[in-house]
Amino acid sequence: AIQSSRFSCVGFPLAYIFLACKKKSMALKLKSSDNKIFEVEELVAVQSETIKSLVEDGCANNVIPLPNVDSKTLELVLDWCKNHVDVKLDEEKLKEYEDKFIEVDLAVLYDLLMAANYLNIKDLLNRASQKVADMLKGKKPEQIRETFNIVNDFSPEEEEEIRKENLWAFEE
Amino acid sequence: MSQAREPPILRQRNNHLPDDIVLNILARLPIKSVLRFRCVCKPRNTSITSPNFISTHLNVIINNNGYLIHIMPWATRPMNHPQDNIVQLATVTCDRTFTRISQFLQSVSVQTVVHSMASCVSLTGSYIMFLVMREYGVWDQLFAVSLENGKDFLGFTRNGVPLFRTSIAIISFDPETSQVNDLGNRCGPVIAATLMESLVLLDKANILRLNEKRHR
Repeated sequence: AIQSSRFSCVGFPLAYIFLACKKKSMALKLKSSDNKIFEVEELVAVQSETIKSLVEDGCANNVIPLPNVDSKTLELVLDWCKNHVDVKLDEEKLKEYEDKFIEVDLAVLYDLLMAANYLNIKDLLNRASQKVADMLKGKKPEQIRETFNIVNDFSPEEEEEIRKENLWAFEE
Repeated sequence: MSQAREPPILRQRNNHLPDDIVLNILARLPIKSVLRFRCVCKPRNTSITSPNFISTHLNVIINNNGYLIHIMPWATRPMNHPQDNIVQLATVTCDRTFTRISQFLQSVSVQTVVHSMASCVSLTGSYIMFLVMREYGVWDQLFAVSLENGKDFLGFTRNGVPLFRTSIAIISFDPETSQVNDLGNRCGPVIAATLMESLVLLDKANILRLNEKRHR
C-alpha cells in the first residue's frame, strides 16, 4: 500500500515501474546540484558504489539527486564510467583515455576527487589522487598549504624542530 | 517528494578535501615530499607518523615494485663502539638523496628491500641473512648465504637477485636454484644500490630486534 501510493503521487503507472525494474540495464536518472538531469544506463552508473547501493536498495526508481556534484563534474564522471564499463576491452586504449581524461587543472581535479569520493568510484579516485600526487612532488610546505588551503598551526619553533628531524627532505 | 526520501549519504558537504583523500594522495608521494608534508600542519604530521599511514605507504610502494635500503646502525658508528647484544635493524638508511648507500662499510651490514617485498640483510658472523617484510612490521627470514672465500654482499639486481663480490669478480646468486653466475671482473670499489623508500623508520615502535651473534 505504501509503495503504490508513492508511485501514484509521482504519476507513473505502477505496471510501467515494475517493467522498468525488471529490465537488466535500465536507464537511471541522476540530478546534479544545479538541477540538470542525466539519463544513463544502469551499467554505467553502478560503477559508483553509492549509486549501486541505492539501486540495490530499490531507491533508484525516481530521479537520484546528487547535491554534491555539479553538472560539469558529473558529465566528466559519467564519461569516465562509460569508458570503464568493460575494462577488459583494450588496456592500452584505456590507459590512453585515462591519461587524457586526467589532464585537467587543479580546480577540476578537486571537483573530480570530491565527486569520486562521494560517489565512491575507486579507480577514478585513485587516478585523480595519483595526478594530485604528481603535481605535489617536490613542492615546498608553503606551496602545499596553499594548494590544500591548510592553515599552518605550528609555532615557528615546532616547525623548525620537524625540519631539523628530516633536514635532507627540505634541501633542493 | 523525492527530496524527502533522499538518502542521508547524499547530503554530506565538505569544503576541504577530506582526510582520507589527502592521505590517499600522500601515500603516492615519494618520501622526500611526504616528509615535507610533516611540517604543513599538526594533523598532517600526526597522520603521517602514524603506523597506519606508514603501513599504507609501504603497501603502495610495494605494489609499485620499489626498493628499500637500510644500513645497520653500527655502520654509521665507529667499528669499536661497544655493542650490547640487542641490535636494532631498522634505523638510519641511505644517504640524503636516497639514490645511493652512504657509509657502506665492508663486512658490516645492509638491509635491503627486494622487489615487491622488503628484505634485509645482516651479517651475523660468516653468513648473511635475508629477511622479508611481507606484512608491515613482521620480518621473516627468506634464506641465508654463507660468506666463504671472502665473499661480500653488494646489493640486489632490479629483479631481486642478490649480488656478491669476491676478490676477483662479481657474482649473482639465485637463492631458489642455488645457481651462481659469474658477472665478470670489476676493478675498484663497487656499490650496488636498489632502493625502495619507506617511512618505516618514523615509527620507532616497530624496530626489529635481533640477537647479535657477530664476532669481532
